[in-house]
Amino acid sequence: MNMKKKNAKRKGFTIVELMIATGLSSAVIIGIGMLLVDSHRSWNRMYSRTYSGISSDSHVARRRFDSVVRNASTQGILLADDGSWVEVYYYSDPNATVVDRYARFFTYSGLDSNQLLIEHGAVQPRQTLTTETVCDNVASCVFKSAGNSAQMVLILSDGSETATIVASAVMHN
Amino acid sequence: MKTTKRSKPSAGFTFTEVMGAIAVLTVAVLGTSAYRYHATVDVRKADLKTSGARVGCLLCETWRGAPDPNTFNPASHLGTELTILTLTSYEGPGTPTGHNELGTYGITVDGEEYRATLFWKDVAPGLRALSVAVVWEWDRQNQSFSNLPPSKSFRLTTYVTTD
Repeated sequence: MNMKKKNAKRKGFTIVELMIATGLSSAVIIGIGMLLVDSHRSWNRMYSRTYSGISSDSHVARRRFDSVVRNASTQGILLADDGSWVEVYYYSDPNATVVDRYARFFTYSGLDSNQLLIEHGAVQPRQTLTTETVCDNVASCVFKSAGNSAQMVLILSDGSETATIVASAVMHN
Repeated sequence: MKTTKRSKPSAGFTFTEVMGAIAVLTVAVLGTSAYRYHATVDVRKADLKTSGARVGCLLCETWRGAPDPNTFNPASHLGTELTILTLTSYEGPGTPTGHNELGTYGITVDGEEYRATLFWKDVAPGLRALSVAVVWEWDRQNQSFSNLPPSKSFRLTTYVTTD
C-alpha cells in the first residue's frame, strides 16, 4: 500500500507528454529551419547577382555603348544584316570639319567566353587604330537602328547568372 | 553518529538556463534572418526599378531617334529581340491629362514583365515632349496600374523638334 503511494507521486513526464512535446518542437524547428534555409538561399542568390561579373559587365557595356553612340555623327550608321555588328562615325577632334573616325561594336568568340569588342579606326584611308574589350560573358548580342538612334540587346551569361541588357542612344553630332 | 549526505553539485545547466539560451539564440537568428530578408527584398525592388528605368530609357531614346515619332511602334522594331506585346491603354500606366497616347506595351525582360505607356504633347511651337511611363508587375500588390506610387513606377521625358 505504501509502495503504491510512492509510485503515484513520482515526478516526470509520461511518454504521451514527451511524444507531444517532441512532435510540437519538431514542427517548430523544421518550420524555422525551412525559413532559414530559404532566407539563406535568397541571400546567396542576391549576393552573387549583385557582385557577379555579369553585373559589372552589364554596367560597362551599357555605359560604353551610350557614350560612343551619343558621340557619333548623324551622317551615317552601318549595320550588319543580321545585327551582329554596328558601325558609327565620329569626329576625332571638336574642330574637325569631316567625320574621320569610326567605331565598330562586334562580338568575338574568345577562349573562355564570348566578348563584346569595340574597334576604333580612321575612315580615310581605312585603318584600325585600337581594339578594346568591352565585356566578357556574352551569350548573344544584336544591334538595331531606328533613324538617328542605335539599340543594343545584349544577353550576358556566366553559367549561373543570366542578364539581358537593353540600351539605346541617339547620335548627337 | 548520524551523517547527512550532502548532494553533489550537479554538473551542466538547469532547464531555465537552457530555455533562456534558446530564447536568446532564437531572437538573434530570427533578427539576422529578418534583416537578410529585407535586404534581399530591397535589392530585388532596386533591381526591378533599375531595369524599369532601362526599359524606359530604351523606349524613350528609340522613339526620339525614330524617323517619324507618330508611327513609332516598339513591338515591330524590337519585337524580334525582346518579348513586346501591344496592350490596351487600361492595362498599363495612365496617360496624363492633356497628353496624347501613342500606345501601351508589355515588355518582358529576364522573366519580369514591365508595362509601358508612351505619350506625347506639343509643349511649344515646334517642340514636342515624348514621355514614357513604366511600371512592373512584381510588388504591384493589386494596385491599379494608373495609380502606382513613384517607388513602383518610372517616368522619363525627352524633347524633339517637329519643324
